[in-house]
Amino acid sequence: MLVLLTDTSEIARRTCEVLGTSGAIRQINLKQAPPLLTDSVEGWIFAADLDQEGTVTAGIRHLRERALEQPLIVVTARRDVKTSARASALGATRVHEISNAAGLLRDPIFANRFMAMPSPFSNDPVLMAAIAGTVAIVTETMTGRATTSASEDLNTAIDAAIASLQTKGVAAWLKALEAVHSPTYRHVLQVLAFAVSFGTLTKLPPPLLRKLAAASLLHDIGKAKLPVEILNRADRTAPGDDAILQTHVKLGFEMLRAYGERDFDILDAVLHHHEYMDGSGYPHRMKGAQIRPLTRMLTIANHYANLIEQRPSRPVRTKQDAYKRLQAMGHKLDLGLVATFKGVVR
Amino acid sequence: MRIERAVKRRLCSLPATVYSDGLRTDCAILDISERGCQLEGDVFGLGNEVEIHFQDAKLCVPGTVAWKTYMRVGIHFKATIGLSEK
Ligand SMILES: [Fe+2]
Repeated sequence: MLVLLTDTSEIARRTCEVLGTSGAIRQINLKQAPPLLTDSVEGWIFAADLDQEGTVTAGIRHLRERALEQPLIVVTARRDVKTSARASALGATRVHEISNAAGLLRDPIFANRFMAMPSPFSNDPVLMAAIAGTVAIVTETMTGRATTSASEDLNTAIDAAIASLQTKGVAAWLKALEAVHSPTYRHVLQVLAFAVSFGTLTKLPPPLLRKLAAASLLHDIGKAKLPVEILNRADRTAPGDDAILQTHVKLGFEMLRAYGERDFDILDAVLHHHEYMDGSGYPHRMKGAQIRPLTRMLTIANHYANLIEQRPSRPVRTKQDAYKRLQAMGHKLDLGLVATFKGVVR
Repeated sequence: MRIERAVKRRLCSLPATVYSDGLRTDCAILDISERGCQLEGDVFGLGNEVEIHFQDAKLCVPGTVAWKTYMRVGIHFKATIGLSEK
């Protein structure tokens, strides 16, 4: 468990927004008396107005509970001498400015959270090992580690994922994914599950299936370069967000090329997973046969994952409802493949 | 195969050429009925709309892709065709 110390300030509000509501973070108001912490604490996050009288004193009172090995992350409004001094008075391990939300989310304190996943939803060690392996890859790619389809870690993770998806099925995988807190990470792992089942159903030869799996793990890698505020705002998009969001395909393609990715199918899938068969997609408005089949499969898996994902702004969708919406996209998608995808949904 | 009398789906192994989005693919007809057919070959890249040329019957039928796997595709014809044994 992580402890998040807050007050009613703007910085506390924005930190909560960035971190999201999650069962793994316990929020405690600084103004209240320190509660008894029964769960084991892995780290502390301090997000309160350091300019205000008494904030540091209240913080120190709460942080008496902190053990030496537990890191303390202090979130500040700006980085100046006074703020730094107060952060070190609290005993900060690392300081993040709230304006750099991406930096905050990339702090190892969160990366470790995704790695050391509790497994309340599955007691199947093979499945959990497969998921933990892919979560580790996604965490690393999204926090900037150079990864290509030739990376050994990636291939080990993919092999385990394919094996467990083919033997345990998609449903068990999706259930276990509920333990992953970040919606961006969870999305990637859902797309992987749908794509692998889809590829199995379409009888893809194993080398192509592995390419499809690698492409699904890497498809949104470009989002690592986008501001976290925009990513987390998927539901209530502000004007201008769309244009920024759309850059993730080119960013991802360029990142992978810079990492030395050689596989054309994977580069193509990352660059073109938002193209539509009728030419209405982005970035190149490609049409029909110009879009490679593996890319079309990734597009379908990606759309289905978006359709089935729970959002606060709408009621929970059933598998069938989401599939109907996929069908309703008509000639935007490869109709033959959408028909075959029905087997994944069943 | 001559196009005369409508019959139920039947198995065959005849060549056909499929055009889709300007792409040409040679494949084999696995089975065919008056309303559609199943083709085998390098069909994975076909788009939604296709035109099938049955060389032996000198016939060209427009259709849509109904389902698809890596090597096989199911096609719905846009018009029914008649089938007969020679
Ligand atoms: Fe995307």
